[in-house]
Amino acid sequence: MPDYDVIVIGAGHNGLTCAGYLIKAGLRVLVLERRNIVGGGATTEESIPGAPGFKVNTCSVDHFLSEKIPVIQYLELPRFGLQYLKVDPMFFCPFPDGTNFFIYKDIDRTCKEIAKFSPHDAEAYRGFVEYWRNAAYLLDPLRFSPPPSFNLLSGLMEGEEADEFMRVLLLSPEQLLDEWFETEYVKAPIAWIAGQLGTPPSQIGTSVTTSLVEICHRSGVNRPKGGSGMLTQSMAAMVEHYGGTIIKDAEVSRILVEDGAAVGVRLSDGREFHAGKAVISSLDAKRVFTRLVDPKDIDEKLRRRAGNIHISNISFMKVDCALSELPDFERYNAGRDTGIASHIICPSVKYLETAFADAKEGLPPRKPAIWSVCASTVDPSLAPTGMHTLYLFQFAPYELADGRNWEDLREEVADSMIDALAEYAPNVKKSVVARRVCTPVDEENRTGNIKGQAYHIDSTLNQMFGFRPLPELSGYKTPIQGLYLTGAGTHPGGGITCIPGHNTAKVVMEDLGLQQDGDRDE
Amino acid sequence: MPKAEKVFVVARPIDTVWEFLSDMVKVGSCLPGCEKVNVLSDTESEWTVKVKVGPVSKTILAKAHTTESTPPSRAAFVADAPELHMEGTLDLRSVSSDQTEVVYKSTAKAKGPLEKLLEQVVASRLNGDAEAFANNVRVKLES
Repeated sequence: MPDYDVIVIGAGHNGLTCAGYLIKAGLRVLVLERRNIVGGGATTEESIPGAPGFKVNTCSVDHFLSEKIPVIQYLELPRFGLQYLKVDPMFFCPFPDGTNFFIYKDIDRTCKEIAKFSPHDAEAYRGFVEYWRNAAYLLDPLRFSPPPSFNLLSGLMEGEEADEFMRVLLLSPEQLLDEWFETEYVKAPIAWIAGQLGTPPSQIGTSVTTSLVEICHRSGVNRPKGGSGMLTQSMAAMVEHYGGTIIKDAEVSRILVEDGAAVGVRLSDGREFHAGKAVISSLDAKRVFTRLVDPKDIDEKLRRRAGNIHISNISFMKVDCALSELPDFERYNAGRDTGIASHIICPSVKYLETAFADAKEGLPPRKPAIWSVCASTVDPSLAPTGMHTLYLFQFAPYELADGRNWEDLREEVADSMIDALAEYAPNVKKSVVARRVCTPVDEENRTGNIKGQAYHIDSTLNQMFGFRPLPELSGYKTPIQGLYLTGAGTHPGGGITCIPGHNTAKVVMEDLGLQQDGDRDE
Repeated sequence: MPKAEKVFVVARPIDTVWEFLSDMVKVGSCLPGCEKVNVLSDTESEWTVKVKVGPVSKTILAKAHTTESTPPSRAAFVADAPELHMEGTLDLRSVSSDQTEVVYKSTAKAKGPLEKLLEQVVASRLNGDAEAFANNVRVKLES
C-alpha cells in the first residue's frame, strides 16, 4: 500500500495550499521541495552577504489578494503564525520634474492627490477603478474556478456591453490607458503595476492586467509580518500539524506512471515515493512533460505542445540592499510616507516600454524601470534596529545578447538599478551597506523556474484563462490519470494569491469524491 | 450550495401581501433582472431574467412550478433553467392587523458546462438579489 495518498511536487505557496486543503479532506499528503527551504516565490531569507539580521524577500514582497481569499482562514494560517501588515499609502510615484503623488488604499484620497496636477485624470482614475470593480463581478468568479473555454464563455456574452468588454480585453494596457487618461503621471504608474505580470505596455490582449490597480484599492497592499516567507512557513506548519509530511532537499526527477496513471515520483537521489490517489505538480507543464514524465508515458503531440509553451526572454533581476538609512526623496517634500509606500520609478509609459524592449532583445535595460520597497519601515523585524532593507526589482533578460553572460554584468547592472533610484533619492547610494544581487540565471538556479520566470510561463492572452498553460491542460487535470497541475503556470496565473493551489485542490477533491467545504469568501 | 434568507416586514395585512406574492407577474416585477413572466397556469410559469455579471450579462429562461401553496401563509417553488436550478419558499406571518412578516428563503445550484463559474457568480449574487427583492416588494406594496 502506498505510504501516501497524494504527492505534491514543490512547496511553494500553491503547492502548500493544495496540500493543506487535501490534508483537511482527510488525505495523507507528502510535499517534496528541491530547496532546503519551503516557499518558492514566497520566501524570506537572511541572504545578503556580510549583512546578518537583514531579511530579504527573495521574490515576492506584496500580497495583493491573498488576505481576502478563503485560503488564509480555511487553512487556519493566523494560528500558525501568519499576520498581515497593511501598507498605506501603497505606492509613491515621483517624476523627474518634481511632480509626485501617493496612491492610497482610499480612492478619494488618491484622487485628491491626482487632482493637484490633473483634475481630469483624478475623475478618470475614479471611473477607471470603478470600471474594473464592476468587471470583478465576472473576473473574480473566473479566477476561483477552472476556466471555461472561450467558446463556453461566449455564452455569457450578450449584446453591445459584451462586445465592448471584449474590445477592452483585447487592448494593450497602453491603449486602454490612453483612452482613459491625459497625463503620463497617472498612466506610467498604472502601466508599471500592470506590467508586474511580465508583459510590456504594448502587449495586445493584456489590458486586464491594469485591473491590478482596482485589486490594490479593494484588498490593499498586505505584507506578512516577518516577510513574504511567513505565508509559506505558516502553511508548512499547518501541513505538518495536521499530519502531512514535507521533505526538503528533495528534487523530483521523474513522475512514475504505470498503466496510464501517475503512481509516484523518483527523486534525483534515487529515492522513490508512491501515491495512491494523485500526484500534483506545482512545476509548470513545460517542465512536467518535457523533463519529469518519461516520453513513453505521454502522447508525443502533447509533449511537443508542452515543449512549445512560451516563456519569453523577459525575466527579472533583483538587488536587495542593507541600508543605513531610508532613501530620502527630499526634493519632493512628500514626507515620511515615502518610507512606507513602494516606489514606482517609471516616469512614462514609453520609458517602461523601452525597458521591456531592451530586455526582450537581451539587453539589461539602459534606463531601468524600478519597483523599490523598504519593507522594514512597516516591519522592523526585517532589519537590525535603525537599519533598513531595500528591495529593487526590474525586468531583465534571461539570455544576454552578443554572447555575454550575467557573471560579467551582474554588478554593473545592479549599480544601474541603484543609480536609477538615486536619481530620485540621492542618498541611497551612500546608504547601501551591503547587497545581494540576483540575476535571472541566479533565480533559475534558486527556484528551478525556467529562465527564472516567476510566473512560470508567459502571461499573454494566448496563455491565459482557458489557454493556460494549454487548452487541454487548463482545468488542472492532465491526460495521465491522477496527475494534476497547479502553480503560477496554471489559471489564473502568477502573483501570491494561492488561487491555483485552491482550484487544483477542489478539482482533485471532486475527482476523489471528497467533501467540498463551503469556504467561499465574502 | 448557495443559499439566501431574507426576513422583512411589509406594512400591509397578510391577505394583501399574500395576494401580491401569489401573482407571478407582480413577483417578477420585484425580481432583479426579470424582463418577462409568462403565466401558463395557476402553478406553472416561464421567466425571462437577465442576470448582469459585471460588464456582461446572460439571459436565463426558466420554468417555474409552484410546489406548495397554503394561503395566506406559505408558498414554495422550484425553477429550472439550463444553467440553474432554484428552489425557494415564502412564509408569511401576521405581525399585526396591518403588518406582515415575510421570510424568503432560496437555494440555487448552477449546472451545465459553465457550472463552476456560475456557481461562484450565484454565490456572490444570491443574498444581494434577495435583499433587492425584499425592498422592491415593500416599495410596491407600501406605496
